[in-house]
Amino acid sequence: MDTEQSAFCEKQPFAFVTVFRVTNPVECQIPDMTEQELIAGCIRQDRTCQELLYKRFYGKMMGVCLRYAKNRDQARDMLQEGLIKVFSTLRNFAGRGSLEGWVRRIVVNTAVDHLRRNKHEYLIVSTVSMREGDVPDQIDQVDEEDLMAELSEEQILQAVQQLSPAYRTVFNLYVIENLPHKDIAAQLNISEGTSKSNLAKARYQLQKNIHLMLRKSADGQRTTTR
Amino acid sequence: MDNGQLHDDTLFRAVQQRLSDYETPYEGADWDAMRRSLDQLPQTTRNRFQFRFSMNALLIGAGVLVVALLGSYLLWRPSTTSTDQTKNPVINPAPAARQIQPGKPPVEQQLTTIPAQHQDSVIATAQQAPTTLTQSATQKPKTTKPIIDQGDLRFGDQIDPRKGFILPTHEADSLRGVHLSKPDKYYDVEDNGKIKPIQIGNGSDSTKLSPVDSTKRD
Repeated sequence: MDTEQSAFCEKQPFAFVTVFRVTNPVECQIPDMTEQELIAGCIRQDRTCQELLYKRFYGKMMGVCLRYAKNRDQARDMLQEGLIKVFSTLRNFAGRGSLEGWVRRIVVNTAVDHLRRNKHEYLIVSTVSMREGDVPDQIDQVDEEDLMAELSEEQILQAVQQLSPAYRTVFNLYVIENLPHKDIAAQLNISEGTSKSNLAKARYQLQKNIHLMLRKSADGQRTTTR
Repeated sequence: MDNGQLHDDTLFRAVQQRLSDYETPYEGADWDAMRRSLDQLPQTTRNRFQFRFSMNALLIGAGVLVVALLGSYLLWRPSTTSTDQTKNPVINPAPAARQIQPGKPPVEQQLTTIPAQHQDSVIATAQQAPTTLTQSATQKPKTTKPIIDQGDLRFGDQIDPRKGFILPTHEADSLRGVHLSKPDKYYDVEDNGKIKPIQIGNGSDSTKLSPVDSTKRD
């Protein structure tokens, strides 16, 4: 796609591009497409354009779903359901804001709805088994960032997945999505007090999970060095 | 902490920095499952898109139809019948003589034999005709010239080479069905429609028509 064609696509209104690209499906085979062309191709249900859009957002959206799900299979279901909604409602994208942000909001809402539908499958308790007497030490806030630096993203993600669904959802909406407690309460159909309480509990649980993970890794290193 | 900014809590801030942009590697098997799900979806979006496309086609077709109807109306509308007689007056040859258009070769006519006593009357009528014709000509605009419809010329019409008038001396329609028993005799039609024989001298000899040749033969 040369610069002139891309400039032409950018200048023309969305409806115009939609109508006059219907007889030229070959363009969807070009990997370097503008966002408007990609959207137009997905609207007319061109599988090539849909695959390109899927590949473009797969990595980040799967990371979003992994934070809300307890395992990869559940995250895959959330992602597929969310992207189907994206393809179905793509014509409603007015172009205000970025496409990634619009897709992200749909995927997050889909993940939350997925958990709300299946809430009977989950227990409102932490999945981390605690031995008797194994009280976690109080960790200075100064060491938290240093400790987090020793862990990989997959380990941190695993620590988040070990939280209960209710705590994990509130944690993700507040910490990652930066939503206020008022919006979280409205979305989850809970009170603001419950949202704040769940967040505090999620933080405490996440701390314990991280410490246990660090202790396991330290013990593992000691055993290997011996 | 405001939305979009880093948290005051170190743990929250650390988790946000590590997981907010976390990406997983792409797996092609997930797209295969996605494609199967998309194939099972109803084609509602495609119908709406087709509706939008067909609306544009309808508008274009309506515009073409309007242009075609307008063009056909302009081409086939009944034209106002202009009175050709005002521009190109056709002189009625029956009551008066007709004027030959200048430049046109005179119509070669075979002069019918008219007895001398009748020639004056014929010439008199012919002379009357140009006056009426000139009168009508003066009334007409100078630019218009009477055009002789050669379709009106009939066998027997006589042309005066000096005045250029065609004398309506053609054979009358009433004589066509008349069976003439004596071919050497000539007939004429009076104004009242009666047929009268033409007296040609003392005999049937055609050389005795002119008064000059009235010498009798022995």
